[in-house]
Amino acid sequence: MPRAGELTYYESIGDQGRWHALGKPFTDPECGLNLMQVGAVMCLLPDPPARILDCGCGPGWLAYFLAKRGYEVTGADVSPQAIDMARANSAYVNWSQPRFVVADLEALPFENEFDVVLFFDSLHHAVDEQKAMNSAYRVLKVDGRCITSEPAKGHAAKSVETVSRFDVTEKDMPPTYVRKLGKRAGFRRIKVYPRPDEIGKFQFVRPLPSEPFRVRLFKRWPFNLLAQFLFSTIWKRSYGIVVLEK
Amino acid sequence: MPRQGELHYYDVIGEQGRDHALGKPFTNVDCGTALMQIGEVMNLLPPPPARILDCGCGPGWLSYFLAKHGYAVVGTDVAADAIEMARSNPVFRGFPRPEFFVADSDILPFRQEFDAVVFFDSLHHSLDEQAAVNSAFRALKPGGRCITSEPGHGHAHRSSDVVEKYDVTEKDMPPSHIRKLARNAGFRRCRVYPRLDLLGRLLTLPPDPNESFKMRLLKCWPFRWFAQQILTVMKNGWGVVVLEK
Repeated sequence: MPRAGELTYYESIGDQGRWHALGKPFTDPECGLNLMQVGAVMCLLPDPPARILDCGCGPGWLAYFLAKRGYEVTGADVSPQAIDMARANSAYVNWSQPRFVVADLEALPFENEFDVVLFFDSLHHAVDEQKAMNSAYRVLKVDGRCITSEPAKGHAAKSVETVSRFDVTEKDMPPTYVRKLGKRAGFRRIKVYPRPDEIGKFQFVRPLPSEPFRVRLFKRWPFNLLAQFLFSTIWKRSYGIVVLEK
Repeated sequence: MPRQGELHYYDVIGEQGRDHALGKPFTNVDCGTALMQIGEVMNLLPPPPARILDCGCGPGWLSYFLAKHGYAVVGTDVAADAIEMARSNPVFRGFPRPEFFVADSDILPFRQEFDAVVFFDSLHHSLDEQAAVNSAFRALKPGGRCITSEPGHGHAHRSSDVVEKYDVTEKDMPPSHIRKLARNAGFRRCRVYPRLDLLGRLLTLPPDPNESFKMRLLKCWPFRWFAQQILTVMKNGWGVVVLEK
């Protein structure tokens, strides 16, 4: 069961917040990085047509993107408000509409149906992430894959204010941990890929005075080259995309 | 002046080709890397609101993306067909509408108007790329920047059948060449960034049997580590360029 705040989140964020949520990723200040992140996830998908479950779809922008790309998409979210917003999302008026259903990630109402289950910035909102992972395993076809792109270490610490204000769940969800969840759920093979948007932050996002010294240093030449190497080898275990095969 | 084929390209490619062009980047086989490429360019733009010129916009998807992000966008293309398709693009009806004009990128009708000029896979279609960069320089406000994300070495060679079939221009447009053009045009500062979509391609896509042996090898562990470092070091061959006026 999700926390009460998850269900009413889109009501409590106000008009401005809903406008932002509906227009994602374009309305986000980090639009560029978000597009890189979704681009990397798309590279890891099988070729269309395939059946994809977008788990925790919110107002549905990713489901629309994938449907436009040619996939048969189902978007699931625990919040009925999010699903209403997704169905009526006016940014994508002429696009083929994905199927949207209200469903708890921890008890998905499907069985052996999907080629891909996607957690895009959503697994870290689950109260019981092991149940969510088991549930993803159950809804996948044999040889299907589950892909997660989640915030890494430090996210929960950064989100304390959001949690207390909206009563939602925020956790760290690094690939090392997702790997453990996946193994327990029964996934056969697990691979971790580096995230180009995380590498990008060190290549072209300017150092900010508010950042710790270490981060500012790694954004400068030649340390950004080192950062890139570390991201694609060691740090991907903390900041990466995980592909789990059933 | 562009080659004749550029003007009639959207006529020649047929219904299916036009549908594909209108639904870009989502209709692209390499949609994922296209999103990474546009994501990188967006990161290098000044924050919205700013006035942006999308030079060589085609059916306009990039202009719509930028307009949705909060920019005031003008899209120009030399092909009147492309501009008509961009204006009535059904895919982005729910997005804010950019302005679209027919204009040759060699002689843009703008003076000191824009905070940024973007060449996204378009400068390499120009017959006289020096004239195009000069004209981008003129269109920029003082302190404005021009951003190019263009195919690097080897593109012209790969595209020889497209050139023959459609009578269009295809060139290699590596950052080392753009740097020269920019210096001639009068840009004050030039910075080159690695193309992270190429990096992402190396990191996420499995080796494809159609690729050259060299590419397949570079995608395998442990060579992919070296490959991506090489890509960053060789950014002057394949990179995103930011020119400051």
